[in-house]
Formats: sequence, C-alpha cells, structure tokens
Amino acid sequence: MKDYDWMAHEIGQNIVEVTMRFDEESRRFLVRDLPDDRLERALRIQAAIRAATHEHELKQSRADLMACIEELTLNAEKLLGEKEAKPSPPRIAQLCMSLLAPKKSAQALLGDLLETFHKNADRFGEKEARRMYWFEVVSSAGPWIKRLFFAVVVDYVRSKFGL
Amino acid sequence: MTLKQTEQVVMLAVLRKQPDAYGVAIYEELKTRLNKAVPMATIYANLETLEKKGFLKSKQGQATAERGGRAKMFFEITGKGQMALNASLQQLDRLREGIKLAGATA
Repeated sequence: MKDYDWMAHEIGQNIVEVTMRFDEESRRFLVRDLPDDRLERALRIQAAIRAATHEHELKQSRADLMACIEELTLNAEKLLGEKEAKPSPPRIAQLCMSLLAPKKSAQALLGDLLETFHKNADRFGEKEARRMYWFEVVSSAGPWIKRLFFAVVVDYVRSKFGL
Repeated sequence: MTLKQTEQVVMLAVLRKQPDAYGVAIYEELKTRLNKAVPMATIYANLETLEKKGFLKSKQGQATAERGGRAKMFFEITGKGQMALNASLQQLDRLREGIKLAGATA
C-alpha cells in the first residue's frame, strides 16, 4: 500500500477532519466518536487513513481495469474488421464452381481453391488472385461442356436413327 | 491397365506428397516440378477417375476455418495403383530406349 500525505485537524469534541492528498486529487473526511485516550485516537485515525488509502487504490485499479477492457475491446474490433476485410473469391465464380464440381469432391475442391486464393492474394494481390480463381472456374467448365456436348450429340443421334 | 499422361503425373505427385497429398499440395508439387499450373479441376477429375479404377483411395480430413469450414481430402496410392504406375512408366521407358534426343543432357 502506498503512503500518501495526510493532515488531521481537530474540529470538535472527539471529531477529527482528515485531509488526504492523493496523486491528482485530495480527499477530506471526518473520523467521529474518537476515544479520549491519545494512543487509541491515533490508532483509530491511522485505521481510517488506511481504509481511505485502500478505497482510493481500489478505485484506481478499477479505472485501470476499465481502461484495459476498453483497449482490448478496441483491439478485438480492429481484428474483426481486418478479418472482415480479408479478400474473398468472387461470389459468382464460387457459385459456378460449386455447380461444376463433381458432387463427391466438391467441398474439398472449393476448400482447396479458397486456400489457394488466400495464398495468391498474399503473394500477388487480390485482383490477380481473383483473376486466377476465374481461370480455375473456366478450366473446370471445359470437361463439363465436353460432356454436355457429347450428351446432346448422342441424344440427337439416338432420336434421329431411333436407337 | 494403361494410364494417361495426366494420370501418371497426378499419381507421381500423390506418391511424392504422401501422407499429406491433398488438392493444394498436389497442385503445388506439379507447379514446382512441371513449371506449369495444372488446373485444380483437372487434378480432381483425374483423382476421381483414379479412385474409381482403384488406384487411389481417399479419406476426409478435418474442416478448418481458413478453408471456409471445408475439409481436406487426402489421397493415398494403393498397391494396385503402384503396380499400374510402374507398368505404365516401364512402357514409356521401353518406348524411349535407344532414342537420342537433341538437347538431352543424359
């Protein structure tokens, strides 16, 4: 416990006014019903001073704690903002990819593309990463278009020749 | 059973990256060693074909936040797959035997 300057001033019978000077403020309070014995009086006044000091320090640590909480909240908000600002692949491209990807491996493929997108964004920037993501989508559309084309041709041949 | 060139390449990459052979690892291995980016969809199409043939087997990993909550799919080459790859590479070696190419270092 820190020692602060204090002054005791007798203002009446068995009443003492104590003025304490803390770091940036001073506090005045009364100690009443003091006994006649000088030693006991001194002990009572010292106990009151200790109590006031303790109260002041508690108030101070509460203020420090509040400041810490405020700082933590600000940091958390900042981090959340950064997380939200993290680049993400084009939504339409993601949708196309989820439609084109084979059912069994669709989730793994989309996850891999997202992981690659973040790596590319860190390495080449968001714009280039987005372009590369679109390239992946277009590349995956190739086999799908081929399959669709063959399906249409086969269907046409079957209907034409009644197979 | 013969293997296409892309299938050979993908299987070799899986062998190199085992036991951590998942899409991104295979993609990066191919990019580093072949000096060209093979589209992820092509890799997955080949992985699926190879799995259907019984040359590879897959297992699901843990979902992670950085992948948008999507799990990795790890691939492992089977005994049948190793035999097929070996046979396919031997065929290629037999075809190459005795041929001298301009610009070859060995």
